[in-house]
Order: sequence, then structure tokens, then C-alpha cells
Amino acid sequence: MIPGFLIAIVTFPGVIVHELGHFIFCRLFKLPILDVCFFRVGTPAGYVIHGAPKNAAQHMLISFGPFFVNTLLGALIATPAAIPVIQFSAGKPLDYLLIWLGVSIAMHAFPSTGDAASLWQGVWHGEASFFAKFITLPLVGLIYLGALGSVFWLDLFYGIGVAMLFPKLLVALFA
Amino acid sequence: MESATEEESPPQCIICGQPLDSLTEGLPVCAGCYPGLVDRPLPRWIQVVTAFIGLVLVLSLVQFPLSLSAGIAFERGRRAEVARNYKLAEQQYAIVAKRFPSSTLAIARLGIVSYRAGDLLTAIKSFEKLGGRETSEELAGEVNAVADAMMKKLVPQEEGAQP
Repeated sequence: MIPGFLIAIVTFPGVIVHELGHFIFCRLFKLPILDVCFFRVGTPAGYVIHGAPKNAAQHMLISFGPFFVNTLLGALIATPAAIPVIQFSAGKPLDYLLIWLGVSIAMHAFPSTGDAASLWQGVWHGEASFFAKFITLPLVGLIYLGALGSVFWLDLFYGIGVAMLFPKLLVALFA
Repeated sequence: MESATEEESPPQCIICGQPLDSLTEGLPVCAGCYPGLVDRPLPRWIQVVTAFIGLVLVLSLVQFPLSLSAGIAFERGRRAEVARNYKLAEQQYAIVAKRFPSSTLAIARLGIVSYRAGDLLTAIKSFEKLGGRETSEELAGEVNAVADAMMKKLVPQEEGAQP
């Protein structure tokens, strides 16, 4: 079994982008950021401690922001390299660098259990509407499932899947 | 021995340590420090990493249309080949072979459909490029079959041989 800190070191750009995702959404909503760690050798590999969001939507966007940012950025970086490498076996060294970066970023898209706890605390125990609570429940469940899946490398498979499937999807769409 | 009563210190700002009269937005920070937390700047090294990732993203986006158009051309070529529209398949595979000249798959398919489209010159040029390259048994078998058929067409029949 490979220790988590080694995976975090090898895929450190993904950790940084994940925390940047939280950071950017906090800045966007003008929330105070009490403490931030973009990368460290430890558990968790990064964190953003921020003031309470003003509503449930902000809570969700701060928690899930990295999911969208990491997935989109990972796909955009890996796709142009994945086509020559995977489809045509004609990759250059730069293509392999792009694939490593894209997969690293995409595999850290999943919100952490800390994000789930914060979302749960803020929405379920806060003054959110029934609808917000109704949406939050399965989302938090999904985050915990994702965390459980990461024991079985689900996050890595997700990263590779984004790098491989996004180009296939685009090609199928436009061909 | 511990002191029996400990004087409770007044609440302080967690940033500057000044005594606090009241919390700001529910946080133990003074009104002077609060804006600094809201507009917290990115550390210098994160700015550098972000700039690097931004640069890589730009590089990727520059490559994006070229790679994607090659992927699309290959798919269109494959569909045209299945539909026996070999001229169109040849055009599409030629786009891929031009973009990725080291791709054995693209050059092999170009050679095969060029032969079927009657463009023997392109077929010969393509197969010449494949010499010494390694590929799957299936593709190698297909290329060899087409190359044999092409040779039979090009090399004059021996006298007395059946057509």
C-alpha cells in the first residue's frame, strides 16, 4: 500500500489547485480566511479555514468549487496530450508532462471529508431551507462514498478517466 | 501548587492580539484586522505555482484545436472507411498523418485506404514510412495483405501466369 503522503507529493499540483478552488470561492464571497495551507506533507495535505458562509449556496460552492475547478482544469490540460499519447501512440515528452499534471489535478477534484463535515454542519445544522438540506444530504453521502472509494484508488481512476474520457467525448460529439 | 483562581484574560484579536470589545462578524478579530482576512493575498510561492499552471494551460489550449481536430479527423476517417468511402477516409487520415507523423496507426490506415481509393502513390509512400516500425499483429497483417495485393497489381505478371 502506498502511503497517502507519497501520493500527495507526486500529485502536489492537484492539492494546490484544490485549495485554490476553496480560496477563490471564499474571496469571491468576501469571506474571511483565517488560515490556509496550500500544501504540506501531512494529513490533510492542504486546508482552508474560513468564516461562516452567508447562505447554503455559498456553502455548497465553497465545498464543491474544487470539484468543478479541478475537473475542468485537469481535462483542459490533459486532453491535447491524451489524444496523441493514447489514440495515436505519438506522444512527446511535453505530452507526458501535461498528462501527469492533468491527472494530478483531476484526481484531487473530490471534496474531502472535512469539506463534507463543514457542509453538513453549515447547512444541516444552520438556517438553510428544507430544499438546501434535501440536496445536501445525498451530496454529503456522495463525498463520504468518494472518500471511501479513494482507499481503492477511486480518485486516481477518476483523474485518469477525466484525462481519457473527456477527449473521447469531445471527438464523439464533433466527429 | 496551582493558583486557586486564575484571572480571566479579556478576549483578544487572534491576528494582532489587541483586546476585543466585540467580535467582528462572529470572529475573534478586531475591525482593523478583519479586512485583511477577507482580502487575504496569495503567498508568493503559490503565485509562482499558479503562474506556472497558467502557462501550462495556455500551452495546452494552443495545442487543443490541433489535437482535437486530428482526433475528429481520425474518427471521420474511420467512419468513412467503414462506409467504403475511401476517398473521404484518405483525406481524413491524411490530416492525422500530417499532424502526427510518428503515428504508425494513422500512416498505416492512410496507406490502406489510399490503396483502396486507387491512390497507389500515396499508399506506397505511406507503407515506405512504416518500415521497421512495431505495431499490433492485426494492423501488421492488414498492412501486409494490402501491400501484397498492391505488389501483384504493380509488378508485371509472369508470362503464362493466370490473371
